[in-house]
Amino acid sequence: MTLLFFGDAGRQLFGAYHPPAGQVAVRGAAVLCAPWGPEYFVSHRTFRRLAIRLSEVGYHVLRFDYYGTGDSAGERDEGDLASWQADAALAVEELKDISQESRIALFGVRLGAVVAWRLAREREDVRSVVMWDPVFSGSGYLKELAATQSEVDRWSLSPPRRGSGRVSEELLGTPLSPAMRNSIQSVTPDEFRGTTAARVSIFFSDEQQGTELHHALRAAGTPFHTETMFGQTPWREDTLLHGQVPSAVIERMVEVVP
Amino acid sequence: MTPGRERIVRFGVGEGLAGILSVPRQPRPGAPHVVLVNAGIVHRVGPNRLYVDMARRLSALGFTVLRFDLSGLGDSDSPASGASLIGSAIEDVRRALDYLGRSRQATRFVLGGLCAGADYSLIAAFEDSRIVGAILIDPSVERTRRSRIIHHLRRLRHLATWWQVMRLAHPIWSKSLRRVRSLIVMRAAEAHSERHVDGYLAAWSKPQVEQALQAVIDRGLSLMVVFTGGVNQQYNYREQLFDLMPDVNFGGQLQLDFMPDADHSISDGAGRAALLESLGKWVDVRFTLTAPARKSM
Repeated sequence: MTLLFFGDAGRQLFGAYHPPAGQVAVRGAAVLCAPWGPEYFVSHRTFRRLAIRLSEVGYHVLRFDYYGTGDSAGERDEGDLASWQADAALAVEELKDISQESRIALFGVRLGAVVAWRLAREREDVRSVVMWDPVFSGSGYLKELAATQSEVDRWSLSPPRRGSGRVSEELLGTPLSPAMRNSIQSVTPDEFRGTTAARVSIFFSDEQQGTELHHALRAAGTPFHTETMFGQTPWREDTLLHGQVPSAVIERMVEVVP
Repeated sequence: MTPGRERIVRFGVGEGLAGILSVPRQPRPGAPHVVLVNAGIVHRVGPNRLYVDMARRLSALGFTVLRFDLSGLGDSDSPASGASLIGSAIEDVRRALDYLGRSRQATRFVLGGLCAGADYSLIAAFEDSRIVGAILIDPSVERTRRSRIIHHLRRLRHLATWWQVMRLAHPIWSKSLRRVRSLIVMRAAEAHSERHVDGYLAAWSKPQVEQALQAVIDRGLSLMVVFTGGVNQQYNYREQLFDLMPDVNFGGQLQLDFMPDADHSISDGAGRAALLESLGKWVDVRFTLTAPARKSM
């Protein structure tokens, strides 16, 4: 594994490149797209494990931090889904340059799955896109996070006074800029009515989640493979506390990519 | 303030430890190097990116800062089998200091961290005289009688507590059950015979911690200790540290910040800005060779 910075000097992005294991045939190059805010921190171990497994079966892999997240340049409140998509495109180019591979697979979790999907629709070199509990209703996603925040505040003996001006808008410890809020709210099931030439695989941790997304993909005539694996949610904080890595989903993801 | 340049570094056995080094554009003469130690199992960016903000602020002020992953965390390799959690962490901290000593001729260090990172920093400072400062955010501490009373009064005023009690989900039920059990088997006295500090300092008895702390203060260690509202069930009034350790003479080497409105990772923008401001003042006071001495908090 090689850690690296890439991109423009004023907009430096951090990446971790995992070369394919020496003894297996090279199968392509894979870029991993991380989720937002609290989910990013919790799923870091899972992303590393996924990258290792993909490299073991023959992929060049690059996991990276969007601008304003992780080890990349920028402040916590900078960036939105459009800039994330541009960062992911830059990561693809960087990996193609490193690996000299033109067969690209994209993996995304939660909002990272939206980034991967949008990129897969734009780029002809993306052969496969694998989405893990993709967000397909941005407003529903924000409500879900807000509900979790309310629950945290409810049990706290000194909850911050939200809406008083003392606390800037944030959800579960991450600032939520107006630009990011708007871009998240723009995500709807219609997003998935577009088409892509890439092979589409979707994993859910709850079978109730997939219905609207499946309808949208079918309406667009996009073939897809979908599976539900209960309880495999590497972005939830209780998973972080226990240090768990959802091996079952990772192994299935590695199996479904060509 | 312009943050320093950031470089990826690998060090330790087989270069198995990974980190980001922030190198200041205008180094402060004679300044110690700063090393940030993982908070729990969150990788080197820190909870809600706390360590990134701290490293960039300190590098803008002229300090070289290393934030790295302990063995088994983030992008570092797994620890050697058989090593204890604390033993492995302290050994990794020593490797980080050695690496900075070799590569950047560093001889003096400030360690810092949140939660477990604070505990590791303090334990490392007990054992390594190269460490001249420590930034401890929410380190493990015991409650005092006063903090217990404050905590329970707050709980009584908190509607959610009553809801928990009625649903038999409140810890008071499980604690009561345990207490009854221990009385039955006559272990109550034994259980309270020796008081230990909670958390990663659990292997240390309270007198041991006090003695070690006094020794490093006498050696000249500067301390910045921060307690947030995120641990208010444990620490909930400013002077609690002094009540806990009445025999320790901090001798003006302690800056104590009490931030009851902040969460554990000081994630809110205003709280984060206040912490970084306070951190900047602390390093100015403690580690500026040319400036006249200023009065500490």
